[in-house]
Amino acid sequence: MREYVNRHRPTIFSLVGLVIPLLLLYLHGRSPRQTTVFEAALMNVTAPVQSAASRMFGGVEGLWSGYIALVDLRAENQQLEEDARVLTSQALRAKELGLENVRLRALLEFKRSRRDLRTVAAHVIAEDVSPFARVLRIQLDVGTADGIREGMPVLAAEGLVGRVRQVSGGVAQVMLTVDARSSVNVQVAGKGVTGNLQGTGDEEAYAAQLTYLHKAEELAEGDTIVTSGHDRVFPPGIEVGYIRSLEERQRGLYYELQVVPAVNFSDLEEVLVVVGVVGDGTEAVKDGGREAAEGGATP
Amino acid sequence: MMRWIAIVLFSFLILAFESPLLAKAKAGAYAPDLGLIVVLYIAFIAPYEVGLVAVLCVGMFKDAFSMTAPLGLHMEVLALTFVVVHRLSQRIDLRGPVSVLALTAAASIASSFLELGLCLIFDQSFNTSARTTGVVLAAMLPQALLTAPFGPVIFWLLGQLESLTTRKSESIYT
Repeated sequence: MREYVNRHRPTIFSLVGLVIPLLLLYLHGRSPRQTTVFEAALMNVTAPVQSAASRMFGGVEGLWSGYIALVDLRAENQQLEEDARVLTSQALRAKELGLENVRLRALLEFKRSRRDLRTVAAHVIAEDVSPFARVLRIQLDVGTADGIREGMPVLAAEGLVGRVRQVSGGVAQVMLTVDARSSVNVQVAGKGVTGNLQGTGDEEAYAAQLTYLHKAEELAEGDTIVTSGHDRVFPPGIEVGYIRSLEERQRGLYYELQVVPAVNFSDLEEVLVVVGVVGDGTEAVKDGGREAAEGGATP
Repeated sequence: MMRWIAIVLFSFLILAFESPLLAKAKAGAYAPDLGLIVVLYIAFIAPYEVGLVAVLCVGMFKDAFSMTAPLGLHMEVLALTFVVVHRLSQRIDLRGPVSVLALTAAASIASSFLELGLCLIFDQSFNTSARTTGVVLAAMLPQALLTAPFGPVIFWLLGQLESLTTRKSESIYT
């Protein structure tokens, strides 16, 4: 028997080796059927290996794609940073230009509304600021060469800024209406109350006080204070401020009221210097003797 | 003995890695028949009995990693391929990678025919329509062309593995 097996070993091996798969195929080729114990065992062996292989390739893929992405990331990042810098700069510039445009339009509108005034446009180039971030004095980029003289009124679109205190060839210093040394003859618009507006010189807040003799009419909070033109320095009808409160103080014959300036001195960028007044014969300002260049003058 | 275990383990690993690798490469439809190449290598170097056992193991792994074929299909296909190639190996001289390439392509087509025949006979879930059969037949040549280039590569890898396990550097090529 053993001799027979030894002699026919290849044939027996072939038969067994070919019949076993056929039997398995016959068993597992039927349909429908349930998972057999062979399949379950093989799945238990292969599933963890395949899962690990899948995770490994996933990791390699992630590493590779991450690396490939990183190769160009540095240059791309630098380019994007540069782009961001340029765009941020352009956006800021556009915003500044937009704001400047709004201010200049307001200033132009004001010039159109006051064709009787001959003005020179000027940029605020410096500010004297208090420790409380309040602007005490401003400096303009116009001077005697532009026809600017001491005492000339300085206006913004919102109203009166102050007057030129010192002037040189190309620079003028402006004393604001809230300066303690500033005094402007004013009236309460539409109420026949005339008085003097004096700056408080307060370093913490922009404030001025209205001093007047008597009230022809009852005043109200928020009433507009405008220049009267009586002092022959400031042209009439320029807004100066608003009554802050009706708490008045009597000082001898005079009454005092707190006034909020019409102009926010902290935001001043462009102003108009009134170099002359034409039309109504009120020569409140001496002509600077020079036609305002740069479109500043209004005939 | 060690060399056969190493070869069987090698086949287990390449079959285990093949499917996830192709899936990650989005090339699941273009799977070369790596198990077949291992079987061809075994048929050329192994004694008949040992080789047949190793091939049955490889076939079983291939069935296990195949998600659609019924268990036993690839065992049978690879065992039959082994039997035939083992007989032929005494008359065929592998003179280089090109002959391996040609052998792999021919074996791939033959094993595809065998697979189709066994499926038609034993696999009741196999769609026996003429259209399906036509698709399988049409895929045989591309499958062979896809598998063939891997022949010399797998042969070289198995040669290196054998050098490690037997500490001999004998080439399969004559």
